[in-house]
Amino acid sequence: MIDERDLEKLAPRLGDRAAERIDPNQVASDVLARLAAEAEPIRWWRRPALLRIAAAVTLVAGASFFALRGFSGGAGVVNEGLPAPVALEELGVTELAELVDSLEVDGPVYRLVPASLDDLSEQQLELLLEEMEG
Amino acid sequence: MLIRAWREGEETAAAELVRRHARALARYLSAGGAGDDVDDLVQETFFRAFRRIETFRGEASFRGWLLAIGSNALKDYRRRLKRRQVLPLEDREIVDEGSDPHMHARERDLLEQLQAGVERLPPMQRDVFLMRAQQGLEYGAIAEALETSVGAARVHYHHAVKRLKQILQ
Repeated sequence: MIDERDLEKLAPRLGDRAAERIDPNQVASDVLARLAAEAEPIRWWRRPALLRIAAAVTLVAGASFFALRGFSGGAGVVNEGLPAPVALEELGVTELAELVDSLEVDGPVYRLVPASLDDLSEQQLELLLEEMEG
Repeated sequence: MLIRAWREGEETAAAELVRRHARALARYLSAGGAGDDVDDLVQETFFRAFRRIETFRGEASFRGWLLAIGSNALKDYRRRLKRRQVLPLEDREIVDEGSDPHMHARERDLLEQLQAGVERLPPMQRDVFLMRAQQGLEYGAIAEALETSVGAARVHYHHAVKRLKQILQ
């Protein structure tokens, strides 16, 4: 005749063999590997800071290129969207993006070219830093 | 402390949590009917737990919380198993006879019957019984882990014991 006490005495022994067999270090390393594998592709895409930096760098680089070409008269094209040379520095990100887009459509002579931080003026660098800070 | 460290991204904290709880979890899952897939289920349970570690409330028992996640993983496993081939309970090797040569035949027999009986319990009774009798958790921790009241946990335990006594007679 089994009573409650017998059950409570037997129950902790259930699964003894499984407990002996398991290798906690192996489990830990497998679990961490799975977590890392799952997190890896997500991390890059979901980092808003990286995306913002990338967007700001693209905008500033593009805008600086257009400013240099447009204001020096190199291509001989009049930029109707810019009332004065200083105005570019006062534009927000959205306005800069619109400007870049409009130039891309209307003026095929203008193209975005790769630019590094070294190509930027002090003011452009300040603008970039402000954008990165949000 | 370890949980906070893991939340902050410290991998060694996660590894330490696994080392501390893996054997108890393996015992629990095996008793619940995990069979030969205990290792996979232990890994799956920790994986699920670490993915949603932010849902763990600091004041609760980590062991209880982990076992509850293990219980859900076990349910999913049973569901998958049902879709595949199901071995009759009697045909499964419930207790490895070679595990302890000195174990008395009577004891071994009782353990086998208890294992079979536990697997036949309704899920809530099984969880409560194992958490209490096998893992030694307090009713409060059990209730919290299984999102029920302390009174209900006691009732489930009472029914589980009653049923197991009937099975084992």
